[in-house]
Amino acid sequence: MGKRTEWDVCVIGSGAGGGVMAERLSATGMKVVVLERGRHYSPDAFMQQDELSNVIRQDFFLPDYLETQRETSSDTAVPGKYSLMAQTVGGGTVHWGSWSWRFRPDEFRVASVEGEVPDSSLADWPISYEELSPYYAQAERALGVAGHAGGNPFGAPGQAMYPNPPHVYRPASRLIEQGARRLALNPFPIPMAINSRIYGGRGKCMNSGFCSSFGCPVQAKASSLAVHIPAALATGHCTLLANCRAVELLEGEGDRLRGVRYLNEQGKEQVLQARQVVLAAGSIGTTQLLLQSTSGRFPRGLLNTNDQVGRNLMCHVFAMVNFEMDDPSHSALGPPGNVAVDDFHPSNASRGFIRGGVIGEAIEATPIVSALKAASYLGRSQRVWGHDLSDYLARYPYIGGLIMVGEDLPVASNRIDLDPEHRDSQGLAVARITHRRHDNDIRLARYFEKRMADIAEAGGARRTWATDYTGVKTGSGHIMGTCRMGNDPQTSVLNRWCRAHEVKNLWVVDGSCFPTSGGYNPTLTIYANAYRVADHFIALNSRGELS
Amino acid sequence: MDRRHFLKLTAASLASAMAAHPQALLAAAASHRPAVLHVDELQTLEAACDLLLPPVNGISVRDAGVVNFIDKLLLHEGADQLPLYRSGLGLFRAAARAAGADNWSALAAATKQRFLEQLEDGHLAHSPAEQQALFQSLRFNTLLGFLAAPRHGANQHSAGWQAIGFPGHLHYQGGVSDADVAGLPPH
Repeated sequence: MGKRTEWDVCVIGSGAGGGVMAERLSATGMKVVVLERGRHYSPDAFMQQDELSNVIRQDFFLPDYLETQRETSSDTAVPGKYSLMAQTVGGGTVHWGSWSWRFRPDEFRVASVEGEVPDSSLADWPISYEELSPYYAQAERALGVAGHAGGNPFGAPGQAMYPNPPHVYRPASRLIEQGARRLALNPFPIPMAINSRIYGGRGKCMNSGFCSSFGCPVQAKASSLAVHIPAALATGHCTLLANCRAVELLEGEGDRLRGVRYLNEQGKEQVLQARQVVLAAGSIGTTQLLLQSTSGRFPRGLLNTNDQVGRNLMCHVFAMVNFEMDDPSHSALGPPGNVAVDDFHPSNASRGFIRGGVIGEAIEATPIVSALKAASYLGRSQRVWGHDLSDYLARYPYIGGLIMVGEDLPVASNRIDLDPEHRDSQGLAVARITHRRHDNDIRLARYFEKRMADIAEAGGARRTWATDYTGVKTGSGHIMGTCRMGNDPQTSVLNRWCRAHEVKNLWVVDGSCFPTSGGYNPTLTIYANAYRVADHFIALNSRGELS
Repeated sequence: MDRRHFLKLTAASLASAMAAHPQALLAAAASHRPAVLHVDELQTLEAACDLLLPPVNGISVRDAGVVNFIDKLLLHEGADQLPLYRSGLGLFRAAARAAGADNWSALAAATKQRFLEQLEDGHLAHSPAEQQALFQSLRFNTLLGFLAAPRHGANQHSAGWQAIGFPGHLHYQGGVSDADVAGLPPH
């Protein structure tokens, strides 16, 4: 890389969005450079992970990260590490749970379906399910999703055959399946981007657990680290700069960027020039970078003339029910959950809330997290110790779980901005999370807690208990919104192609662009949307229209 | 100290436990010799931890080396909790003296149980918020010491994992078969 190199494209971030963009664009011969803030791990490094490092302390994938959090703008934001993210080559796809859903068609037009909802900033997506459908199929093939097409009568239509068969059910899965059938519901295998057989040059899952929050040492779990970045590098047209943190997007002449200022591995400031910039650093990182890129034209941060950058932060709402069964649940073995129930997904205001979510099997994966849920089992917040605690821990092998991923409503005041009080180890203002749940989220979660307990009890569980997960915010890892795509430049940041309204050669291709969150894990939709944007990008380039 | 300060203190304790210096702890954990706490303090802590988490399937906090883990934690990741422990252990010492015992561990089981309940409620003579912060930290660190991966100096010989039936990192043994996951009887 010479000093005067001008790249065709600079991709910032190497997760679901950045990985696809890097792969697709470099495959056409464009000269692509990928800036990734984190390390480039070899899969064998994932043998060294553990619960304390990855889940409790989060210092494996976020070794040097600080942010602050508060509920409302009148609260003082408290520093900490709240968000479940991975700053590493492959981004969040390295430690994702791999549940790979298509959003339902109605989830792309929630404002039209639901009308105006007080205290919410609902908006339709500028694209439809039908437009995204072929790209969902493309993503499913690339990731080797394992599942059963047609198994979910409440899912998106036109589901293509999955490239791999479903994973085997564990005893806890069978209890849930049986309970759902007894209630006349429709259980089906969760579509997962984990190889149930050798596929795509990657091995079959070895059933060792440690999936969500962990990297896969055999790469049976698909990720941009395992799939897209290697493919991009293999083109010979892509250069990966790991441990390099973009700190400013540099304005050029007209409505264009000229490049990116970044800190290299030694912390030394560098500038690279690029004709096009693809920002894919996740809802928090993307917002942070835009807001710290100020100029005379954009004094409040790049693209933030309308004060929309950072707003409408979403992170899903969750409900959690555990159950105890007579026989070992085998929750610690195999992929992260196997069976789902989606019958309660369609929105129905007569339930006391709008929107819905999907229920999936939640494995009782790691011991410390399980121990920290003892209060829920015992039904008290005091005296969660002594023989009762030991008795609870002894039940660990017999515990299974159900989790609901629910669509949370966007709220304009839920946002990311830069904290004026706190700086990180590199002297930059940290991201400040301001987030308070809409009441609808809470009602939705409570409803699903009851339905999940019904399923487990019908399946023969000895006991069920709920843990309140409504307080989980960006810690869900499902961090969406902050740079909406839309047709109106006054109310959105990006156009329907995820191209900035105000800067011609800037694209944002990650979960930031979501106008609403859908009631499913978001990563497959980020992947599919990236394939869609990449196709458009390539078409413009081939026509010489990529100004 | 009011509730807000108490919550801040608790958050600080947990945050410090989440600090990022695992290698330091790993290195220190190689030794079982006390690094921060005195022998009588270790004895007290072990008795307290044993009440907080009595043996699980016959495996105790002593078997898992929990107190050694906490000692090393207070030297490294949890160093900012050390004043809380020092001050709090003074309460344990005072209670022992008042009962004419050399060490808190020698008190009657019911007395120790009542003491820990009062500590949790913040009803001992000392600052209520600090008592509660110490209690929460002690409970949290006991669980870490029992269940965290052995490479951190906790859960020695995987004793805690054996106690709860957690198989640990199966990657090292090549994983398990689909039939093992299914748990169905062989045909």
